[in-house]
Amino acid sequence: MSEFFDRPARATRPERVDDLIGNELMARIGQLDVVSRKIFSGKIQGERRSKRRGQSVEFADFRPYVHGDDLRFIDWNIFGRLDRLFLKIFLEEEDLSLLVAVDTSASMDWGDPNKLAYAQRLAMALGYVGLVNHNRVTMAAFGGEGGLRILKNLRGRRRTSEMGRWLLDLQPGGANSFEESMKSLAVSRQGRGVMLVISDFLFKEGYEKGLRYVAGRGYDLWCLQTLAPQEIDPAAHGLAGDWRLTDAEDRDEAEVTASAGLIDQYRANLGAWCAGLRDFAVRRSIMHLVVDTSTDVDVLLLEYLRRRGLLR
Amino acid sequence: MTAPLVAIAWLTPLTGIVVASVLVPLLLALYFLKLRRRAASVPTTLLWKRSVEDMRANTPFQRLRPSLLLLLQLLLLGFVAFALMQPRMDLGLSGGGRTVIMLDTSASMGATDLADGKTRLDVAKEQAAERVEALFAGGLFAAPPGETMVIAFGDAARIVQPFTRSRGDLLRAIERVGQTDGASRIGEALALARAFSTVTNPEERGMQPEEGVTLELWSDGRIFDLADQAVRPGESVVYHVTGRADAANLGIEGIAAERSASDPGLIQVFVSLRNDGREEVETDLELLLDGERRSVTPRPVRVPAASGPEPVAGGGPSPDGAAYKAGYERVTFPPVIQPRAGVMEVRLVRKDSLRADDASSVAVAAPRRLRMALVGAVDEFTRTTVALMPAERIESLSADDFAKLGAKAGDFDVVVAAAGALPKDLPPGRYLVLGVPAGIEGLNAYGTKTGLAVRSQKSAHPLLRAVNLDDLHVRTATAMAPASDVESIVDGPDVPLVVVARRGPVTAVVTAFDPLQSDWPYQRGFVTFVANAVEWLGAVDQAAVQEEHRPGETLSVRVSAGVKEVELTLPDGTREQVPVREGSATWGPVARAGTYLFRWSDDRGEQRRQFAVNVAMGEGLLSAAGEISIGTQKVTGTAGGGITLSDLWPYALAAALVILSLEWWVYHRRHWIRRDASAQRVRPLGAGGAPIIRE
Repeated sequence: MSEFFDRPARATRPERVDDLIGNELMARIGQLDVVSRKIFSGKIQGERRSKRRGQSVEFADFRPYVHGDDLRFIDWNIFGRLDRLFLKIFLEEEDLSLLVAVDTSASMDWGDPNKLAYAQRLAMALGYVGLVNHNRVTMAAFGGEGGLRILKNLRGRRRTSEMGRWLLDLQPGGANSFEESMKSLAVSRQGRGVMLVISDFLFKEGYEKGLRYVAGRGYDLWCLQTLAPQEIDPAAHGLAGDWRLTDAEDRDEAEVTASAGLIDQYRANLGAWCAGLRDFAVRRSIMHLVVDTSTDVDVLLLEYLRRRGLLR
Repeated sequence: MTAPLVAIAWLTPLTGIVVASVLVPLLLALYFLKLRRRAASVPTTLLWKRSVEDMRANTPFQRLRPSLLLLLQLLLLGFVAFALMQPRMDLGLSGGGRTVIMLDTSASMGATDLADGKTRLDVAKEQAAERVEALFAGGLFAAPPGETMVIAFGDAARIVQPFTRSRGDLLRAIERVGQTDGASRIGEALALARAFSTVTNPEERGMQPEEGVTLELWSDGRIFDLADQAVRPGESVVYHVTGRADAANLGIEGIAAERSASDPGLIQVFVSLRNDGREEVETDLELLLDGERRSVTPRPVRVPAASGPEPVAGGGPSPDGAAYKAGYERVTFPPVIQPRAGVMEVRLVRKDSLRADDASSVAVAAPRRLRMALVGAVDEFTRTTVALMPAERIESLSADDFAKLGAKAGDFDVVVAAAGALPKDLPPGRYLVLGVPAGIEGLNAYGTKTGLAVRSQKSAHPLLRAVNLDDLHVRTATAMAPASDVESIVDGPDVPLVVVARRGPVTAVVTAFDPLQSDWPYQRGFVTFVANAVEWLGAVDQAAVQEEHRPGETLSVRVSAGVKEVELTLPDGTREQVPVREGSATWGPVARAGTYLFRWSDDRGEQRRQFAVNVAMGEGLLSAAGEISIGTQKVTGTAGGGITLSDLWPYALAAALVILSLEWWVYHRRHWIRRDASAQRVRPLGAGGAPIIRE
């Protein structure tokens, strides 16, 4: 059993783009595409379908005819067979905006595997999926030194390297307000699409206000809550006895005696915190996943995110 | 006497107090001080602080848990300190061990300084009886009591009751213990107790050889040989103080009487008074002769107060080096006329708590003339000297005539004989032999020596009083190699010249040479020597100055041949018949002070011999010692009687061990639970080894 708290492992963050995403992973996820549960109009015509009619020749669905519908879209063949009026719905193809927001606050620079490094690799992989599918990819970093940083409107595989370097440049530290960051992000956001927030969501001021800014504005929002194994089960990683715990962000101190009761209470509180975030997300059609950083990124992408419908 | 409700004694209270006063504040300080915590960084303290608050808010025992540890640790320290103080307490248990009840019967125990006019020994006996009752308390359902024995000790120790489990025998034995006027010596009592309590065959006795013995001592602590004793492993001593620490006493320490040299009909009496009180006292003294008052001191005698710290019982000098010093005063009475034998008694008019030493007596014999015999060819110088001495009768006998006398030879007080005139089978008697006789064992004559001079002489010996032998020259002497019990008082270059031999009823002063073979008869010292020898052998001194006797000694009178029995009248008036063996009647040891009168009849009519026995010296110090030192161990006295003190430290230590185990368990319990809980509650989130991903 590792004793993380007694001897914290030195964080190994990626230094090269290859560290963020290897060739093998690129080959495996190159066939994936980002899926939005909602289809929105893009700024330019792209490969994405839109609800806007008449812009595409691709059939999407049927729906019963109601008064006022354009008679041109009635499927007369069905009327001939079933003697009922159905309207054919055609989708317009549009580009998809993919926004990946990475929390670079000091609390993310913790754990083994390191939460920030994990978030960088995950953001790189998702961004790569977006780039190869000609989506409009925007990277944002919040919470760290320098406040909100944004890398806007990348498109195409050739921007992979640029995106990788930008991610490599992210430095942890600081404790900028999540709410302010999300507010700024919402204001600067362009178009509609899929937005992923990769964070531990352990904000003392709460995550609710921040998420409200970015939820329900035409974005399909995903909250990927990354937690280190040492956070999930501190007792199994050497937290026993009397400790002075220092908050990585505000240097606040808590003196605890890691007794069985306290560990149980901590686990219950962590569970309640995650459950609270999930409830908040469900009520606002936000997807929420708790990700253990010991999970391989390719497993997460190829199995869990595909199963959850973010990728296909 | 009312026994305390909770009797508890501490052998080493200071140790426990020091340990407790250091460790308990230290433990409390550790609780008050902040723990030295290990430091770690966490993403956020939000959840931890909330958890701690939740713990405090939701767990009813949260506040009690650290207190429980503190309570256990305080209890642990308390028990350890308690054990270190070596408490001893009356648990009401006889314990099955052996108990020896030791009662001091010395003269000081006769003091009446305690309540109700009872003597200390009376009180001690009552307390000892209560102790026996306590040992046998509990009735039928109690564990069987251990064996108990009773020993009384003064000058000598006596087993009043050997080890028994009979309550009645013990109570009767305690009742039988009587007062003596002797000194207090415990060595023999301890030896007796150990001899009886040492189990030589444990299987046979059903006891363990190492089973402890409790020595319960009732005394005032004034025991002379305490420092020579030691408490052995397995023995525990309980000292019951009997007597008051502030008891004062004035007594007669010594008495002597002497007939005037010029007028034997006059007797002068000398008395030494001792004051053990802290104040100077005055008293009148009266002199009684055979019970009749003959003289009183013209004015009160002032006896100075005692000074210095109280002597430590058995502990040698007092800590500050100052010595205890009793107050002394000597009194000389004017001569009284008493041509006959009698008992001179001096009494203090002032009374105090110890009566025994308020009177002291001495027996004086009548001035007595000797019956002497000159046997064989005694030289003229010696004959002339003997003839000049006051004597009732001097007979000159040939060797054959003396041999025919047989046992009747004992009628002569002193026999002066030439060496060759004495028979080989020497009858009982006292002899001055000029030359080495064959009838005395141990002289070991082996030849002759010539041309001898005196190399050394024991001038302090009564025989050589005022005798100077520097100019003595001996032409021919018998060489002797006397046995070790033969005392040589004059030595030549290689051989003894004058020896004193004691062989049962025979006492002989032997010169190694015939006086005519030396120039001694021409010296003044020869006459003095012969006179000294005759007086010493005839015990003429006893007529002038009577030795006083002390309890513990034996009394002996020499009687004429044919007397079979002597009647002895004790101080309390009772009479005993004492058989005569080898010409002497011996009785003892003497227990009580007073006048002892021997009476017998022989061909000279009724004979009387009186002995005066006085209280043992040193017993006048009455202040009871609160603490005694037996060897190196100090034993603190208890005032009560009926308590069984049991060691409590083993129980305290056992309790401390139990609490230690409990404290250890309480402290580590949370870790065990935590490890188990971790395994059960965290791992299943990712069933089948899958990563933990929750929606």
